[in-house]
Amino acid sequence: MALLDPLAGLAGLSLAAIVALYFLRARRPIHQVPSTLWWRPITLDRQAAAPWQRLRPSWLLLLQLLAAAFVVAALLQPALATAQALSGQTVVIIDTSATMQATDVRPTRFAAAVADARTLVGRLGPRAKMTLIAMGPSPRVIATANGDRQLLEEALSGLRPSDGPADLQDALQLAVAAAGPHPSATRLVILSDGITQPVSDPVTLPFPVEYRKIGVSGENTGVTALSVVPGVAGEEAVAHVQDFGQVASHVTAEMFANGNLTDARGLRLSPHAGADVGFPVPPGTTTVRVELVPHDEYPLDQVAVATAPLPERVRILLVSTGDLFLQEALTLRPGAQVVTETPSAWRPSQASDPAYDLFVFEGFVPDRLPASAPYLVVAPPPNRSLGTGKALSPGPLVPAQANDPLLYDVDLANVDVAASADMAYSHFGNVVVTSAGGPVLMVRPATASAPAAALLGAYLHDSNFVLRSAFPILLVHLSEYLAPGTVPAPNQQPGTPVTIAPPPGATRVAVTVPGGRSQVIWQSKQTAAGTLLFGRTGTPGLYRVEVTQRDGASTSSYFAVDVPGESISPQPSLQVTGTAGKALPASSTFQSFWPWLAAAALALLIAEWVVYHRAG
Amino acid sequence: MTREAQGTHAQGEAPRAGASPAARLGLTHDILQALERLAIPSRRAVLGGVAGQRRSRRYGSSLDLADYRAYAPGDDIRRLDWSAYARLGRLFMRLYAGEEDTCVSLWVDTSASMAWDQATKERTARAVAGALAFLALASEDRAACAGFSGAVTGRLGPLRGKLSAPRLWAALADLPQGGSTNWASLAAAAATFPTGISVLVSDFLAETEQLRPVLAAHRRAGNELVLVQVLSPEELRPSLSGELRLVDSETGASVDVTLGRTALDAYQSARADHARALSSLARSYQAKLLTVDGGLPLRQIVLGELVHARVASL
Repeated sequence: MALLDPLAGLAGLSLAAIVALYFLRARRPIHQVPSTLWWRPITLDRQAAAPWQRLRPSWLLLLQLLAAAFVVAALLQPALATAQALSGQTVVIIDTSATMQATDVRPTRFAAAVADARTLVGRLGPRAKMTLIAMGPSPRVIATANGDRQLLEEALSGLRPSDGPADLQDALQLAVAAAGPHPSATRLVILSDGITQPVSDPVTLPFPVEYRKIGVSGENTGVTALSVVPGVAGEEAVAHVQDFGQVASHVTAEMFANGNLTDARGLRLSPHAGADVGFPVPPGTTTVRVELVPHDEYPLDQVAVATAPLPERVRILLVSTGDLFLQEALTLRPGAQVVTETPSAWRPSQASDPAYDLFVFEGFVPDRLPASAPYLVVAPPPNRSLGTGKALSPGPLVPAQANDPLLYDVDLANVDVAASADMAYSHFGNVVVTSAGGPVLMVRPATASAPAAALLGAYLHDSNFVLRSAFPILLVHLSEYLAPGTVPAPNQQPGTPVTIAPPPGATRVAVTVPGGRSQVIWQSKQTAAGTLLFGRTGTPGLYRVEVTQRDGASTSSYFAVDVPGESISPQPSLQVTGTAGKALPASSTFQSFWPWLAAAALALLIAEWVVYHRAG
Repeated sequence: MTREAQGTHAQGEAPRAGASPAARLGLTHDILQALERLAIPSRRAVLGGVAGQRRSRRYGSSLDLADYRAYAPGDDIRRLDWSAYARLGRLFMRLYAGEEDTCVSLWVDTSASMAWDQATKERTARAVAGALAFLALASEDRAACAGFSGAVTGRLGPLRGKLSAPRLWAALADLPQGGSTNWASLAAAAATFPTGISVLVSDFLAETEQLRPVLAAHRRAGNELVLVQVLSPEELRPSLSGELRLVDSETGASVDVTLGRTALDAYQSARADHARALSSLARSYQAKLLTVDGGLPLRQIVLGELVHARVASL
């Protein structure tokens, strides 16, 4: 039993007041005040002088006290607790991202979220249904509109946390789809620490939403980047260690080469501070690992691995009048070696020079374009073979297709291009970026007779394109598209598909994942492999890609998948709102029986009235 | 600003039925115009959720560079400070200070004691809350409101943007009135709004030990605290005299008093003791405390008293 309004017990003072009335002789005019708080000292002073009388036994007093006691009891609203069941459909999104493995909530945030989900399953009403959505890098429905508690429990038991990020946008789309055409009978509960991939715009859903924050602490120190770079005396592993918390941290960064501890450095980091720490890489090392000890509440980002061999070298010849931005953007690709020369120094024989993996021409088109190596032409003058005309004002740039991989993270919104080559009549290749004035960027894949090529019409000197961060990102994407390495850039995030481009003549491609299991992802002696997509990158660690050639020789290359260091501070809210109303009814409801007490009080007052009149 | 905000009513008058939400709270066009130049100051960096105008404790995506480091091969080029390269010819990685908003939660006492003396305190409390809500929204912060008496009622928000102000004003004007204050329910509700600044508008006619758990709960929830105590002229300068039975408007408890100059002096002494205790309590929770005479014109309270107490500032 519970008291719904325990403060109403103050009304019990009325019993004392009733008794006092029988003590006191004087009857004073009644005046209401907001509170007697500041008047009490005065009444204490006056009580000594108050004229009291002896209390005499009285039926009236007894009945009045009983009536008042019942009224006070009714005001306290004693109630019996009863469980309140869920009705309609409840959609539960359970965050399975990497940060849910933090242990600031015991045993983990993920386990706490699953336990919360189990509690909700236990509250399902007779015809109520529940949909469970696991929110990892690729959100998925693990139980669809089901009222069977056992099935839901089994779905929760089979759920495992991932090492990747949480895609809130996709999870919400699944929730809306699960609601179907009757969102009014649906509620959404999000069990998460709120650390998700950004939602493009605040989302409003057609049903009530409750975000249950899981997690209490944001203390975390992690490795945000690890790479092997050329040093003064050989190769050097450089790790960036960042403190994401509110308190200073003291950690030791341990360096392992091929699994053996080779070095260790102590680091003191102020709150939010970071530090770069470098370790020499012993000759013959193939893998390096940096681990922070002691582990904190989020150990996943305290280990990073990298491949010791430097990235495959990509030799780029830039023929340009000297655009430093273009040159610097091309060098951002790991392993890129950029050689520059002016158009006047270009010799036609260079087009077939095997020393270069990629040619880039800016403001210049040679008479004979490379026939075997890929090339990129930027700001081309009018040229018949490319189909480009005179400069025009293109207007705002927009992607030609949604979700084009070449435009990932390329924000064209603030890019203003005053002049671009007229490519409206060009049949160069597929349009990637277009405008009101026609295509601005076109690419064409490699064929048996021609290399891959790209054509960027924007005149770099007549635009702010080179000043925007979209520019280097697009250039790196184009460089990787035109001259792909066998394996992607060394450091990848868990769950991100990677492209593997075996060299010509490859007959078999196998990937060995962390843990030692090997998987053949392509095998053929007749056809060329082309570009392969490998998506099973959910486990952090080192991946080995083994390419077997037609003559039986095989080569190995590596890429690493690391959980990036990040803040694990649970977010107080999400950019998600639903319709008004509570998503979940209170965990219990109370059935009050105050009317019965009030009725008893009324009966006693009637009895008191009868006694008063008979006595009178 | 909407033209509906031009309605007005003098303190002590009942708001017109059917008037605009701003007019129902007595917020005139000139008061709102003046409020747009003010903001609610925060002592510390916030951990909000949406981009706003306050310095965050997280690295975020504002234009304020919190830190940078040299670019290393393998770094995520999306965080490359490309514009710095344009200026300096060197590559840096960006670490930005987040600029986030905060949530100003307004908790308005709607108990019976506030409705005493022609509801002067209640109207002033709601108007002050309405002004602070507008102040928050105009400063690109979020604002939320709720009433409290026997329980927390009429919760709305958090909302963003000045266009949301009429909704908050209407909610404040429509808060149910009456009942006795249940401080425990206010303490229990402390964490229901996002972390930010909690503004408690009440007469605080309770022992400070009853108030302590409320302040502790709001601080535990990570909020800064602002206490606005609204008293009526009759409470500040009682005009009662003679032998009276004084009945508490909320508890119904009564005390018999014989009022003369000595008794009224004792009353003022008790009020001063309570004010000192309340001030000490506020200090111990690093809360700002402002006591307002509900009989003053609203313009003077909002643009004078609040600014003077640094509850609002330029």
